[in-house]
Amino acid sequence: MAPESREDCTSRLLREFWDYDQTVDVVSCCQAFLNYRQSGYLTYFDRYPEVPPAGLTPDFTALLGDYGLVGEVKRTFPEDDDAFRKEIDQLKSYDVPLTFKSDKGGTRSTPKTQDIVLILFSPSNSLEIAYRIGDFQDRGEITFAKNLVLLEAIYDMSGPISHYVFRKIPGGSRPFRDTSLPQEARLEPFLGEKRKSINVYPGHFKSYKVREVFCNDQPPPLYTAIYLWTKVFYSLLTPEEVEVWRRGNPQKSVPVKVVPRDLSARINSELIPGGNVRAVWMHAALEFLEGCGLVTMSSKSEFEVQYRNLAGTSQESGSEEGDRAVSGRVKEYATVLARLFCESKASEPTKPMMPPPPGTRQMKLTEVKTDREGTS
Amino acid sequence: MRELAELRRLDPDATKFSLDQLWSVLEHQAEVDPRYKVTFSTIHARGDCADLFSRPESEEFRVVREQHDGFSLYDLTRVISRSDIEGGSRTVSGTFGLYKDEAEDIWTAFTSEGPDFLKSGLIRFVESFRPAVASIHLTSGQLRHLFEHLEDATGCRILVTKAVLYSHREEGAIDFKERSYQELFNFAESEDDYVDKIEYELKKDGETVFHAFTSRDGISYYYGGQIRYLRDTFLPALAAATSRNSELFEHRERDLAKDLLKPLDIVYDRDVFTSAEDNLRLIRALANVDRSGLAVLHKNPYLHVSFLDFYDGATFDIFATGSNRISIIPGYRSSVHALSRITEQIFKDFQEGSIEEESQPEYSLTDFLSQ
Repeated sequence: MAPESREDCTSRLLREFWDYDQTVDVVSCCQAFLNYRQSGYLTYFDRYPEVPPAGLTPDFTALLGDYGLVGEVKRTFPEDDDAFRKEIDQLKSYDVPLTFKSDKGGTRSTPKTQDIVLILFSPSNSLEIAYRIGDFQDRGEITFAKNLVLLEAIYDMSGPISHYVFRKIPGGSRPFRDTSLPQEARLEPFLGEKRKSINVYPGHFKSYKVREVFCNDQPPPLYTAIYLWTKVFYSLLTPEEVEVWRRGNPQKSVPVKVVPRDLSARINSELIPGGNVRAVWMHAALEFLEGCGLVTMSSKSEFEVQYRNLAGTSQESGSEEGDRAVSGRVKEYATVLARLFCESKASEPTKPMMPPPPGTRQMKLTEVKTDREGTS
Repeated sequence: MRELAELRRLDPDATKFSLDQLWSVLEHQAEVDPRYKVTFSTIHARGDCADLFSRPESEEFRVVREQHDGFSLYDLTRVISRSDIEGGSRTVSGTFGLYKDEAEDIWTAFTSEGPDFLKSGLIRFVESFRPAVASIHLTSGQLRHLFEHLEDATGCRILVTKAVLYSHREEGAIDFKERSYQELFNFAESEDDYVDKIEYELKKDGETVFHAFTSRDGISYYYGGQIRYLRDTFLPALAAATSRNSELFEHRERDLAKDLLKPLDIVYDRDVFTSAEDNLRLIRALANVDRSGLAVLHKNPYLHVSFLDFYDGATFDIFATGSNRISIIPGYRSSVHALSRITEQIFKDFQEGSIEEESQPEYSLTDFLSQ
């Protein structure tokens, strides 16, 4: 198999970055909708659930009094039946009575009724995936005690303001069993019986996206690296180091020592309060930045970041990423980092591209890999 | 500074002088010396800017402050060391004054020294205090209102003798000569340009009674005529106009305790995002802010940019989510300096709009549900 070219590598990293961002959008849409729509009935929306005792990590849980929704967002499913079945098995793991977070403090309760909502964000394949899931159920190969509700998310650009649209997929989908909610708050009559859709505009969800930044899936290292570089590292500088840039050249590197576990703890307490950003995400991002030549590992658990403004970093002009690329004249960090990483890897052809950090959830990494294959 | 010498000549026993006395001397100098020029620079600074300026942070500046009643005078010396200067260094020195305007956090620095002291001395000195001290910026619309106010308040006709306009889309300046100021601003609007600098005269009964210059970054030159038009009318109105923006820009950082975002919107009275190219133009405008970095999280059709100002670590999430609105959401660090830089670059390189505090959205069920 031919080694991946620098251009293909850059495109792949950026596509993973944008795909993850869209998943963050979809989860933010759900959070915005349930907060506005169900404001009187939503007990708690947990964006970073880790459900005991098994530590299950769906993309969200929403507790609405006696009714609970476990949410999972998928961009695609594998073609292969066995691999497809494994993805269904992941959903099946939610098919037991789960304890939902019912407040910020971590109080938990088990709703009387619980459903699983699978949101398919795959414009070309949603209906086919829904059909296959329904087929598995019809053949009795898999059964759910809880209802599995299938929603389709699409990005509608036809109107004057583009927005996300959510609608229930007929066939394969079971109803929301939300009868404990008052009629005006129920989802099933609207989405199921009347076949209507929910529209969520960027203006609705942007504040959730800004506050939460991530979703419960492991982000691609580039995505985390961008967050660290634009939102976190500067806050770790001493006043003296800030002065270096204020008076001098911001392209001059300032060394910053960081420990992944400390970084995630700081983010979860100060920058994304109530977040569940994992240390392994930090580790993966720092290894990625090491691949960019911007970080060195100073000990097993400590990294030294050569922090600076990347806007002066050399970058070829052109738009090999196609119409989604930002103009080569703009020193945009995602493109700069992707290129630095891929240039570095191209000069080291025998090294593996990105070994997963210790403790990384392999299942989620596979999802990312599958995503890029499925949406290219 | 010749004004101080004149004050001392008029009252040799006084140790302090008032701002009114200083203005009287400026008026007198303007009357007796047709070559007399004064430059005024309107700036934003929270706290005691007069005290701040007496303690330069950079070793290349030395100042001696003389405190008076309502203003301060500073003897400023700057040693510029550079390899391309003969002998390795040169010294720029002169005197400037500083007073606080009535508008909150707005100060005016002024000097009658020559252009070398202005550019290499005073302006560089003020810049060395960034981000605590921020330049102010006016839009073409605000400049037009200033001239309307000047015309109304003085009863004079305003003639633009020279102006510099720039296109939002193309490089290169457009010179504009000898027309009324309304023609100038109408021309700029029709051509989708922004007004950068204006040299103008006040005419009364066919006579020129005042000759001055102003720029969108708060620099005003007095060239001739009655300086009271600047003192009484133009500079106070300029300070008030800029104060509004500064008030909007203050205390915008995200409130962690209340989990509160404090977004600002740039609003346009027409659709400015009609294609993907418009998103790109906004990205390019943001990338032109010096000492900043940005990452594009979502490029099309809605735009989401993460922006970092390397002066002070201010961070922003910037969205274009509709056809006529840009939303700027400050992070845990924000500053007047950073917001001023961002909005001005958007106004220059993308499009001028009006800055508004984003009202808390009030969504109803129908906003989310299909009909």
